Amino acid sequence: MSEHFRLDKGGLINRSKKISFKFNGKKYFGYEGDTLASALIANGVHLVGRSFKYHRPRGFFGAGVDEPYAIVQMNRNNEVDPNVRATEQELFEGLEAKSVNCWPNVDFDIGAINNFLGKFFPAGFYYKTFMWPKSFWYKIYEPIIRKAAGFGAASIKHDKERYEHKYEYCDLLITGSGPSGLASAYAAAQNGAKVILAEDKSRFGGSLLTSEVTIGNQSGQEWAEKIITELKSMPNVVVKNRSQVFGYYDHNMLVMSERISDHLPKSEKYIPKQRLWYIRAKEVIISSGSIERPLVFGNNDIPGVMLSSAAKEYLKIYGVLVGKKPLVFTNNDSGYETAIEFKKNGIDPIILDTRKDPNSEIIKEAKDLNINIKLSYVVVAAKGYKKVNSADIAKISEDKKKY
Amino acid sequence: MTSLSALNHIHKSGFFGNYENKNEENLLKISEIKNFFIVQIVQYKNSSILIDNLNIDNLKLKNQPLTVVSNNDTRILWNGPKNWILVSKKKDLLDEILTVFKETDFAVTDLSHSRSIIEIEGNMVYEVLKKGSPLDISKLKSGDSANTVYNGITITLDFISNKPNIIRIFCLRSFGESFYHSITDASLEFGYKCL
Amino acid sequence: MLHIKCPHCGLRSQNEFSYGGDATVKRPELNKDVSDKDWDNFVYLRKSPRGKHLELWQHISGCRQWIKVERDTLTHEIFKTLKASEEA
Repeated sequence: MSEHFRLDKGGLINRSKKISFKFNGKKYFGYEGDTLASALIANGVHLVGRSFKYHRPRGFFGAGVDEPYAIVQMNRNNEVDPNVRATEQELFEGLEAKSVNCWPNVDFDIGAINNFLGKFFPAGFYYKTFMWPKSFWYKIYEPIIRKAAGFGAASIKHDKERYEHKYEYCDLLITGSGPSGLASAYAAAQNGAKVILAEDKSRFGGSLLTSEVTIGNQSGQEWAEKIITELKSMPNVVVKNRSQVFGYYDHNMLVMSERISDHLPKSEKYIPKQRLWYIRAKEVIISSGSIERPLVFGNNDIPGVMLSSAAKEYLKIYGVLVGKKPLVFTNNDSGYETAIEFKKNGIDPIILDTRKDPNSEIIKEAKDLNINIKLSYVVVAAKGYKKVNSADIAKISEDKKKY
Repeated sequence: MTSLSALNHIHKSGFFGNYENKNEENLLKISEIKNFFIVQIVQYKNSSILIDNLNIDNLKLKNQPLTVVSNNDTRILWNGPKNWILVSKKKDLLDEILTVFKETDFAVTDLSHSRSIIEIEGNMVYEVLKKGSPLDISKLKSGDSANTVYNGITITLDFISNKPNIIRIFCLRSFGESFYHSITDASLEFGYKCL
Repeated sequence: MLHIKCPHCGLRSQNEFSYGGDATVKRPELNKDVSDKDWDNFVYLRKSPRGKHLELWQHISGCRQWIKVERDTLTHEIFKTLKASEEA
């Protein structure tokens, strides 16, 4: 299958190295530097799972740790790993993953019948229904309920991987390597402080990688690369990617999980798969950036409805179009950045802005690019079942009481 | 008394872990230290004797936290206020100790058979210790000692040298085998050689 | 995980310590009649304050000394640590 949604150029992936992988038994191709999510979207795959109770179709919503939907069952080196976010899993040669919470498959899921029978499942339905006849419980009800419960299936084999922990002390712990994280790490490191810089993703730079910014006379990405190279050469600095700081406890003890081998087809001999760090820091800078808040409208869980920041990330980092007829629904300026990126790559987006009369440089830029902007408009509902195909939109009435 | 050492059953010499294609100089060297004479010396709370006047194997006790006084044969580790651990290659020091440290002022306990001792040498020694000990080890250097825990096992660290890094670790003899497993497991990543 | 400054050894992790209870409890004086109520208070009755609390800790995996720690039970802030012989 060819990659219809991959742009001819752009992105930070290594286009000289093609990688093959399997999703739900079907073979696809991606490139080195892809995540499972970006590679699937490049191949036009948006349906990756089913929701927990009503088995509604699920696609990609975010592009990183914030992903709520695209949870898959991983198979790596003959070991299964349940509930991995496709947006966080980096692609490696021979990766195998499959959808969870669907039977017989994600495309045709018997459980989706719940979606239509939902109104017959009132509160307490399970407790009342599966009481009788009593003999049905062990042989029929319980096995079926157990099969339906939960997402991925855990391995019943002994995990042969190594997992380690370690204690570390530092003067300054910085979580996130965006512009502020890098700048503060650099300043502190030059003053001789013992610094640990932790980045959750595989690439350093954070928002510098997806935004059109310049620092001095360099692009944001070049600047980030330069600073990281310098930091790595300093003996008083520990720079870690694929490392997520996930807990902040008493007396500045922070906990970080370093994913050492998850992005490799198999762990090297005697090298741990993951390492847990207990870091006692004198000072902490949380420069994690922020996660976009989704807007509310009908059916906003259909595959193909996603955060505009995620769409921008797929485009800028992976050179992948999440769609060819994008509709950007926003209530602030950030949606315009995404729309402009689409326009620059030859795709015509439509912007719906809830605001009546917004005014800023980026809106002027969008207008100059002839982007179709509808002010004071909202999405009422998305349409489609396994993939969004249209949306009902409406103009906000003057008194905001009806549309 | 039999002289089976604490780690006799598990300490086997050879190469282990990720040692292949590595310069032998860069590997960790792990050895068991045995046949040492170890005593704990505790000065009673109400004792008023000045420790500056006491000499044992030409060493004076030093009531300064986390320090070691040493000569070629004997090392005296600070083990707490008015509390020291004397470790010596000289097996016959006991008589001298008992004459210097009078029983009216000091409690002297022979711990020679109650400790197992592991010595680790190599560039990555500090990294191995970080994998189990919550102490800020990077601040300690040769001539220091510290009591701490390693994966829950109480240990005493004796920083013998910094060039190369040599650290001697004492733990209770009954924890010796568990502790040895902990240390060697943490060393697998770097590759090690058992002497 | 708390970070406790042992007055003998310096800053150490909580793993090296063992908690020893309220440091303000006084044993009834020796060689005097003690009422059942006083005994009861001494043995069982403890305040469980929200805020500043003076407590005993033992540096069990360190210098093995008992120490006093003034700690906020709400925020875990440690105001000061003392040798067991010192008065707060």
